[in-house]
Amino acid sequence: MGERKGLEEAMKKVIRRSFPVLSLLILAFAMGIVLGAFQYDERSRMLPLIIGIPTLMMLLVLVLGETVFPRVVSRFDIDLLGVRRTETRQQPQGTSETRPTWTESQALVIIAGWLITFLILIVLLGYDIAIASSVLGFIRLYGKQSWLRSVLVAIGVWAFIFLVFRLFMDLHMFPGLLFGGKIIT
Amino acid sequence: MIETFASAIGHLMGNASYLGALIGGCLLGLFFGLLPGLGGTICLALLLPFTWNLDPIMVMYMFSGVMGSVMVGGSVTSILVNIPGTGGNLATIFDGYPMSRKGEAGRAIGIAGVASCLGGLFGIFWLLLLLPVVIKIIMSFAAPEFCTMILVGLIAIVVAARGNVLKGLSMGGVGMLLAFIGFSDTTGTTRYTGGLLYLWDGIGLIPFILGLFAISEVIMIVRRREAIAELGQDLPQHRWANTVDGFKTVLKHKVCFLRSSAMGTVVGIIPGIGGAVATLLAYTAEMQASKHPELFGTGLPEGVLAPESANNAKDGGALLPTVAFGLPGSAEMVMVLAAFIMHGFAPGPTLLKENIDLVVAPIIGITFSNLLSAFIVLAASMELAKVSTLQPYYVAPIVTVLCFVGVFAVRQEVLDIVLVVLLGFFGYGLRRAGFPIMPLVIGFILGGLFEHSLLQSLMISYGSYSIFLTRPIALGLIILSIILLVLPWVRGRASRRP
Repeated sequence: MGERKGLEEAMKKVIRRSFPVLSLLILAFAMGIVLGAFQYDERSRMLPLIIGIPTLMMLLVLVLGETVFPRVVSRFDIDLLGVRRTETRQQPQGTSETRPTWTESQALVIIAGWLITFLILIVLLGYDIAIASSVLGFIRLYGKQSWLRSVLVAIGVWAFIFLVFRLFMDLHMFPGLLFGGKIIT
Repeated sequence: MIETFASAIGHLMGNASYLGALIGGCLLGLFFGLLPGLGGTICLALLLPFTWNLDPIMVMYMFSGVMGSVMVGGSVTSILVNIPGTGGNLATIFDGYPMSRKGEAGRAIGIAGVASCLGGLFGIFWLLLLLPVVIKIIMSFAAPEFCTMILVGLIAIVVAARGNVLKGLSMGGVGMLLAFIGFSDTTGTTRYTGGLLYLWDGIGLIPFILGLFAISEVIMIVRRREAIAELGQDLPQHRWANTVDGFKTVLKHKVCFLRSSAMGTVVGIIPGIGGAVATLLAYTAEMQASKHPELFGTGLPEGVLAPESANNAKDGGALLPTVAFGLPGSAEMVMVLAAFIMHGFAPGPTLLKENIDLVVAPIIGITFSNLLSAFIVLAASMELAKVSTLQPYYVAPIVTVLCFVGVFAVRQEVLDIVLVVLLGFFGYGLRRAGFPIMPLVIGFILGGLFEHSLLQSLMISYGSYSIFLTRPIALGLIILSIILLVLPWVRGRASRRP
């Protein structure tokens, strides 16, 4: 019981920490665009600088607010038109939703894992196998539905995609790297 | 003119192949609108090669069937699962999806269906009414006017910047910065690609929208472990109750409806602006005019009515520059233009004089298709609304599969799927951290267009910004932008005064 509670706390900490990380990532992106603009000619860098510099300033205030001066950010908890104060003021660290519970965190890990697995399956084995196996796996494992129902839904989804995209639209679906597919980067 | 229309309608009703082409196109458009990522342009592009030996009027009916219905189909997915079926349905999700979450999906579909249908009809009405005036204005539209028109559209960022103003505006800025990635045909340079060939064309709009809205929503649904409609579904007493409610809403907000459909038509006439701008402008104007703007985005019927009236009204308007000047008003109109050329007709004044049947056919076709598709959606609104009560273990895999396949169908790029997943996680993170997604998307859609038209304007004026002040329409649009920004603030202060 104690071990589970500790794990829960650790999970919550990870999620809580991820929010300034997101702001930092966006800040880094904006900074990259602004600094990168200087390698281009005058016309090419004009808009990236005009838009990028104010954006960078706003993001900087946000990051500082989230990490050092929380009150600074809460002062901006208002629409630009001044029509509404937000719920974010009542909540810590500028999040507009409640913190995820342990079960929600588990669900988050499941869906993230499933999306990545689905993606890897498409890249390696192609659409046909990936669609059927991913839908089956999700409904069976996450939805805890019977094998029969899971298989029927998976076949139904695959058949719909096959009929519409393959037969009707004559679309050549990606066959997967293991079956001769190529990705050009 | 009326005689020409009456004769064309009679011709359509008496010809089974024309009617069949129109109905077939309408059903196909509705279906493509329902599939995430696949809009009318892809549907028309797929149809185009099969039409080379068909009667050109029949082709026009088929194409207009698609164009008239695709927006209606797209509105359904916007409302039910937070996926804008097409760019023109983007603003519908502002209030349509919150209505679904409140268990009012059927009502929202009813409003969207009626607004689309009547919006399409009024679009034709406005087109005929405003044609003599608008055509003169449109003829004088050049880069500075485009630029200032997009500036008005960018005001929508301010409107959509809900919650924390810093977060909203910075997201608008980030959206615009993302739009600068890739090759710029105005400056001839490739920017921020990091040497990746994939980024040469920039970030695709479809993966961008599907990732931020659909995949992030899938993550939210699974995390919540509950159906989209949080409180269950408010099922109406009888099948047509949603339709009746839709009509009542349009009647109640008739000024909003008339304004939005007129805006849709006018924006449609301007070549290259597109449906997303039309709906964003209509939504922004409605919010600015409203006595309770703070309720927009929480599931307000006017928030569905305004964009849905505008996006269908714009189709009629978009036809005009295509047939009259050979300037396609939207991506779909490029396909119509291609069909004209493929059948040996050169759009322009000669076409209007010598082949008026070909010009009238798509106008009538779009109107009929609007009516038919709205009827189908309204008839099925009760069944469609049940989607919002489906359990997450069905919704999540089905939506994900449709997104992954839909995004691949557009460009046949596997990396687009990777991008969709990354943007899905990014969108989820933004939502959790209280960053609004809408300004990001508006900035992304309009950022590239704004840069393009701004640089073109400066090229015309040899680098002088005075071009925006010396041209009356551009100046008028700048003043309009300022009014749109300042008016609610002034009204807010006035209403707070004792």
